Amino acid sequence: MTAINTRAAHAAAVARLTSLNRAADMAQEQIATGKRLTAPADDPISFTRAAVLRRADTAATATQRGIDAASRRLNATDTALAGISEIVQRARELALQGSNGTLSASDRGVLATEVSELLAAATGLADTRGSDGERLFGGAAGAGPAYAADADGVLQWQGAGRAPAVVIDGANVASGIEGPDAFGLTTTTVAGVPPVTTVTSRDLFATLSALVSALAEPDDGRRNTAMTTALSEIDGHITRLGTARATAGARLGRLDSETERIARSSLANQTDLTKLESLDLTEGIARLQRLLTVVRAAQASFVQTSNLSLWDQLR
Amino acid sequence: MTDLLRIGASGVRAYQAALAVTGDNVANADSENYVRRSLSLASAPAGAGSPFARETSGGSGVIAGETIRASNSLKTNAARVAAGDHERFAARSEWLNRLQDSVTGSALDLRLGGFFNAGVDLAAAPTSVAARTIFLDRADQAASGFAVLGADLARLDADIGSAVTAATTQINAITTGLARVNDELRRTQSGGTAANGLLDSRDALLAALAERVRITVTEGARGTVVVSLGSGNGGAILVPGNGSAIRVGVRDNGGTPELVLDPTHGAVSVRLPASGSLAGLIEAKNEVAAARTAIDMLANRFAIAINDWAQQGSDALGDPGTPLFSTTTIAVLPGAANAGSAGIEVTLADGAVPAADGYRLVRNATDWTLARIDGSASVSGPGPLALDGLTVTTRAGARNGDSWRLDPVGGAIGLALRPIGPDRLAVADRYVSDASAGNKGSARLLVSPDASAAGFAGTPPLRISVTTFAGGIGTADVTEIASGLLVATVTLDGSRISGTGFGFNLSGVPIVGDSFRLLATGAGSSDNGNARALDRVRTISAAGGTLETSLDASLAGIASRLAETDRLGDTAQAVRDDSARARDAVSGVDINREAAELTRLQAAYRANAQVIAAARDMLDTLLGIAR
Repeated sequence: MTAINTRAAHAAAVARLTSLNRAADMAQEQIATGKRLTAPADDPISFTRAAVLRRADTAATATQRGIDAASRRLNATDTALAGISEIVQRARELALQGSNGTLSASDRGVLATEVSELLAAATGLADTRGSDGERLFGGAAGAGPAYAADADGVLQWQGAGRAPAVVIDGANVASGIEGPDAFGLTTTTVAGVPPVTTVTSRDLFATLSALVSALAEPDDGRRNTAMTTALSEIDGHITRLGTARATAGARLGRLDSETERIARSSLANQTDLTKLESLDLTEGIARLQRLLTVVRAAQASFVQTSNLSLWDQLR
Repeated sequence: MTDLLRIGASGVRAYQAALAVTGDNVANADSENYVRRSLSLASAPAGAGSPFARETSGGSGVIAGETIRASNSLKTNAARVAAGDHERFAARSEWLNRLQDSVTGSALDLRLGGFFNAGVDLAAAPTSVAARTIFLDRADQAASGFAVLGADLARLDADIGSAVTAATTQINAITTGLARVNDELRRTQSGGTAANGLLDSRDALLAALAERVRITVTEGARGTVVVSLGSGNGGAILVPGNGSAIRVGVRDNGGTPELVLDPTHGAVSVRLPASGSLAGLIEAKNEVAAARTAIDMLANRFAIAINDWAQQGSDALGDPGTPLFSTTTIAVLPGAANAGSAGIEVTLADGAVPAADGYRLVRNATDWTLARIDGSASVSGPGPLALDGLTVTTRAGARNGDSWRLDPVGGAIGLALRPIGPDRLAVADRYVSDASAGNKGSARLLVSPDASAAGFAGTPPLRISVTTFAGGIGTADVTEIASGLLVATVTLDGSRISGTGFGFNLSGVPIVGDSFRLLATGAGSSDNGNARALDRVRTISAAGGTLETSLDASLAGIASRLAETDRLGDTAQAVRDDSARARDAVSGVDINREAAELTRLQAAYRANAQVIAAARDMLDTLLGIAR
């Protein structure tokens, strides 16, 4: 049995009380913050894991914002394409009416006027802007109009490149449809001596212009040929517009499923984070209660034992 | 009869002395370095029975001998060693805690994450000025996070340096004190109050020394000590048995601190034993230095990666991107002998490259001189002074001859966002390409800038038309769209084709007649290619992982060493407490025991007084007979 030393016994008792108080204080802080880990050194491995999870979570939130922006753009694109599809359908009806040989020139003039209006409306829709003022059908060239008339008065695509894409886990998903993919492209070849320019394909706007000219054509034979060409071209445009809308829809669907996936993985991240970082409140409160009881008992017994002294008995 | 009187008197004297020792013990019950004393009592020698000294039949009483200190050198030594071990972990833990607080407090991981996430937002809204401004703000926060952390760590390093210096100063003061105590002990009779007091202070000094550095103590005559460094014999002697103490110092040896003996004259390097607060401080200093290196490397890697990235792209005005971050700043170090109180302000122009050696600013009689350290250039004048892009603004209060060192510093401290407007942020790719809507094949043209590419001449916009293609190999004509000129005929075999300042690949299978356009990104482009490429910078893995995971690894390393230190520190504290208790059980004062002792000695005192009274009674009786 080692002898008891007054000073050391006091110091040891005080040290025990201090460490109990510190433990109680820590338990209180954990309960107040709801977190099991307050500093990396509490559990370095869990802390690193939590940092990775938290980063993944904020990155997923940012990706989600990107997906939302892309969805907005694709929805606006789809709306514009739907508008243009209606215009082309109407143009087809007008072309069919105009093909009827019994119509008078003035009737065809009325039809031509309406087709001109339709052309203007389609041109306007082709220049639709997104929320940041960028041209939805301009590809990557956002500042200027997507379509503008060239020196010959022919409407030409002014865009360049592809619409901005959104990166989802390293994969690019395009957030738009470029003009030529939706409305076709006017191409020409130059051949022969002297050079003769032949139009090999017409975009939607050139087709509508051609339809206007065809309706105004007085010669029956030439008009019929031109009307037939215009009708078949319009059918091609309707197919192409349908394909473009389907593409936009597919991209939207992809973005929707990515949104769901991000929400799921975010939930999983949160669950993991909670497991790593959070305090089991019931257990934490119980521990604090236990510690406080011990602290009170230790204080009381310290006072009692330090009162015990032989000196009191010396008279 | 007189014998009995003398015996009684000797007893009274001895127990009075013993009571005084007990009283001293009680009085010093709370004195930290006091060792319990006890008086050794011995029976006084009887006379020899010679003609000059009469042999007494009944003894000749008691004499008070030496005052004995209740100390056990083995237990005292064990307590010293344990205290040193604990101090090492305590010092290391304290500074590692500060290191951890600095790193977590800088929130650098959040700032880096915020920067990269702002890049994602930027890709979602490439033409939005708001997104660009936010991105630049996040870049500024990331850079200032590095700079603040770098400055914090530099300050921490300097603080530990001061603590190390303070520790060696204390060690030298203690060893000097011990040498003086040795001198005194040699001159003092052992067993006396003075000698015991000296031994108490000797033990106190040894305990204080052992808290700072591991020592071996060899006790010599009269309690003098030889103190050597480390455990076991053969360590360098700090305090000789006779003579003055050897001073110690800590010096920098190529980045790592080392302990030296006699630092001012002929310094000898010695191995620092792994115990005591000095060892803990030096270990913490090494940790901080390692953390600084890691953060500086990370800052450099971040700056290089992001600057490269920014230069790959094209800004809103259609120009190639410029670097986002500057990597150098100027550290101002006032001369140690400056008598004046002037402050100076130094600014470094954007893009300026200061001389690597640094500069010196000196106040002359009338004006100021700013000169490169190598002396190759200098400017003088009343200020502001400008040299190599440095502008020094001087303030009043300088004295003649005051000087300042201006050093360029890189790493984390040097990182700062350059003054860049939102328009100048390179969000778009330098070049864009598209496939003609009439293409039949599935091929796509992928173009990227390459400053060193020196293939065919020809400036975009270019048209690349496939002329032949079969079995994975083909040819294509490259024509300038503006002029219609054929600038090259290139072979398509899947390999990269170089133009001037760019290169491209054709991926997928083209069909003869397919054509592609390759254009320089113009002003106001809504392309987000370069912003998307930031994701690659974020996920690219170099030594130590991505930028963010290397930061995590640095922090986790610090945290796990701190956790380990705390664990070892808890064990060391338990050992320290145990060994201190074992020592105190022998040498400490227990007032209950002293109370019992007091009662015992009082009784003995009273009994001896009674002996004197009895002797007096007997003498009185005897004298009464004669009357």
